[in-house]
Amino acid sequence: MFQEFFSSRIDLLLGPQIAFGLFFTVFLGILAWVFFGMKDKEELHRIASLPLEDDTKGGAQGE
Amino acid sequence: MSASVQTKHVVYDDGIVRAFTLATVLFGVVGMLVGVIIAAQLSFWQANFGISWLSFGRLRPLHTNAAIFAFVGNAIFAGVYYSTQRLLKTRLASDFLSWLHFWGWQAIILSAAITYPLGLSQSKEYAELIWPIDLAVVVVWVVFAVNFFWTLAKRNEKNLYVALWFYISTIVTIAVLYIVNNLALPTSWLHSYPLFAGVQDALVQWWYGHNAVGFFLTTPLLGLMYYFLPKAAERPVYSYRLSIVHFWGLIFVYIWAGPHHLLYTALPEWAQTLGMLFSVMLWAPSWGGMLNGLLTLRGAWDKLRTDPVIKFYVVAVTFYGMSTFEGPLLSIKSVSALAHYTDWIIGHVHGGTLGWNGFLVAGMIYWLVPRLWNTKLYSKGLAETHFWIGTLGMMLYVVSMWIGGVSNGLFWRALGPDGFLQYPDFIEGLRALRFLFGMRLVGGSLYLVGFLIMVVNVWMTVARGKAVNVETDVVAYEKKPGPNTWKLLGAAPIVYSAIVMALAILLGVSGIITSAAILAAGAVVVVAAILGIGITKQGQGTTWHRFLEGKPLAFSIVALVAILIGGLVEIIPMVIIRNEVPVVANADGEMVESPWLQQIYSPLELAGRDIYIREGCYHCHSQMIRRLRHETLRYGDYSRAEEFRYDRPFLWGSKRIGPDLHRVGGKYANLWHYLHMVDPRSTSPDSNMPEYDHLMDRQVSADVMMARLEVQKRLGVPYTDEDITGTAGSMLSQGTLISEDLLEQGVPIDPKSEMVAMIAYLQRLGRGPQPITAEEPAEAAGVQ
Repeated sequence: MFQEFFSSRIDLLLGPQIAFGLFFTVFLGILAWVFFGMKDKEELHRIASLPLEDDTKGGAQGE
Repeated sequence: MSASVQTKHVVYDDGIVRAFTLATVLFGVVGMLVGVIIAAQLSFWQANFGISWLSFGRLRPLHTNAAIFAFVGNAIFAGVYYSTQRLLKTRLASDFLSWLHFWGWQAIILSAAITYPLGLSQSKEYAELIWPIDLAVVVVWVVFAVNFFWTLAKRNEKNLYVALWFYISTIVTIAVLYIVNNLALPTSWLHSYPLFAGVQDALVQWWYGHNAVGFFLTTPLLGLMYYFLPKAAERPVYSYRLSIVHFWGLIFVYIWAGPHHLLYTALPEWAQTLGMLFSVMLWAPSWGGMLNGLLTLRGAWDKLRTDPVIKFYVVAVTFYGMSTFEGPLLSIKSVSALAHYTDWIIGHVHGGTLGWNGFLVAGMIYWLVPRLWNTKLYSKGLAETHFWIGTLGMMLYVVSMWIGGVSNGLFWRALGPDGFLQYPDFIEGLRALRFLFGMRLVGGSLYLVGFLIMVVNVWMTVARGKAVNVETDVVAYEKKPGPNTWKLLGAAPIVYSAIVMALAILLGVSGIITSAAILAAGAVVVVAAILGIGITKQGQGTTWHRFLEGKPLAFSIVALVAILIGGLVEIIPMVIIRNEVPVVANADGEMVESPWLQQIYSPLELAGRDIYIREGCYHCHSQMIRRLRHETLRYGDYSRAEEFRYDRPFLWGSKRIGPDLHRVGGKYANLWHYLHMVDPRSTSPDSNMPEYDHLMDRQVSADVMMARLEVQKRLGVPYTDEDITGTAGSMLSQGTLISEDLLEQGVPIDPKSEMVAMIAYLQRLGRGPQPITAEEPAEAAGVQ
């Protein structure tokens, strides 16, 4: 049934192909930007260390 | 930096974190205990106790929902509320909203705990809640979202740490998934029929089901991992760059993978292929994230010997890696052909929930509880004991399910030298699993015992501590007016992407090749644009992504667009086809109406179907014969899409503890079905099916069914007014035919009983409408 339907409405299947191409391209772009575009190591280290910044007064009594 | 610095005094709201933490512990016990009970029921059918509300079919959704939404859900909220305040250096926006969220969520859990055993279920896996509770879920989720985003808005830290990105994606995506998958038209306060039917319903459900795992059991926990693992290891995440790739990789890829739950089914091939392709692609970001987690411990591996928290985290992250390796593997069509419907899937799921979710939550609780109650952990030794017992239990569980799944899959597909089934008796395969079912029961029980040890440890820690709300002075950045959110829409990557998409769509009508060429050219432009913008910084030293990080609303919109596109391109073509008359090519190549086109259910058959849903029969019996030789040999001709046109909800199932039922109609006599439901062992020795003799004592209501038929008609099912007004007569007439048949064989039965309705439904499956009156010849029945 689907085969017959989509053979006459192939345009409907362009959406997934286009979106796939777009997604993959954007993902490649992000990958390239992350590894080639992000050069401020100090800023990166500061953001990466955010979880370690919250030295607290009352609660740090764990092991 | 473009902002000036000032110091602020902040008192964190840790009360709400304590509440969610204790709820996590409580519902962890409940969820696992119910899991052990249903595992016992699979080993010993007597453990159903002959009580309808304790039967496997009704308790199974209670187990899955308690584990996912009550146990992991409460843990997520505890971790999110704790870490968000610290990462944003501000108190949660509203105490009222926080507590409304907490009590609302617990009320929903309580409602689920009452309604599931009563058989009030929509039947969609992990979305079984009836519509009024669904509405409550949406309201509470909105409360959570408002509280979270409001907190983001009043933050004292400019940048959003990667954990917060994962939280944002969770909030946005779960809202979309939950609403779309639960679109339904009520027939009463306790019942509804879904908007989608058949194949469409299946696709939407597994789009939801897969992404519920992705965006409820994965992304928020990854956020927790990126916060709590560095805390425990006392060093920053190994690679912040990798965490960014991990995030965007998951966002872009995960949402597409749902159809891998429907391989070889009646779903179109292109959708199956997309699902498989994207699932395999998931390997990369998932393993990137896993390695990032493990490598965060570089230089701190000595803690593994001494710190139980690190032990739990290491195993959790390892199981994340294992599950995310196994998931794509199972999504490969040839592997799925073997593994689908078997216990391998159950093993895979529990590797994720027990190992990844359960141990990450345990590590978080051991880390959090001493800090929330300002004391030391009561006993490291007990935590160590929990770890080892839990690990042993988990391994027993997962390994037994692997062995059981693979051997069962091989058993089902084994063909003799003559090309026919080597093991035609389904029950023989079930019998062979008995030892492994027992092993699972032991493994699950051990995991529960480990968890109970944690309960004692938490209890003792809380008893000797004192609840405190942590106070601290934070360095806050004064917000200066920057480019507004709408300006982001003009950011080059988005503009280029939109242009490429528009061009491709416009030119797509002229052919695939043109579109592909446009896409390829556009792809180069987009990559160049993103690279260009990333390298050349915008404005005051800000890259577009850094800009995005500083704008939570814009960030959420981008994440929303990403997940919407991935979902819609799969769902829209399927929704469009719904309104078409199914046609197939005949022997001469002419297009004719499909002979397999489903005909409407009679009122009694529909009543039986609703009982089938109430009793949770779909948990053990599939109704989808895949296009595989061994399946068509065992169950009959393969299932076609048009055979489910009016199935609301679809009942394809995901597991075969019993055989497929799609073509069970006419295979056995009415008496066989009656005996099978009263005492399954009388017809199928060694079956572990519960007894359903309570169906004898209950009657179906013509008034209820009339209301349900009216709703079905409003949903597009071609019931006539005569069909609806004649509901009572039709039900009695068809019921009488069955009851008279049974009476002839010595079984007196009320024609209005639920048992008769169930038999009517089962006899209809795979062969279409059955006679309603004695005068109506059986030959008059349609195909489906």
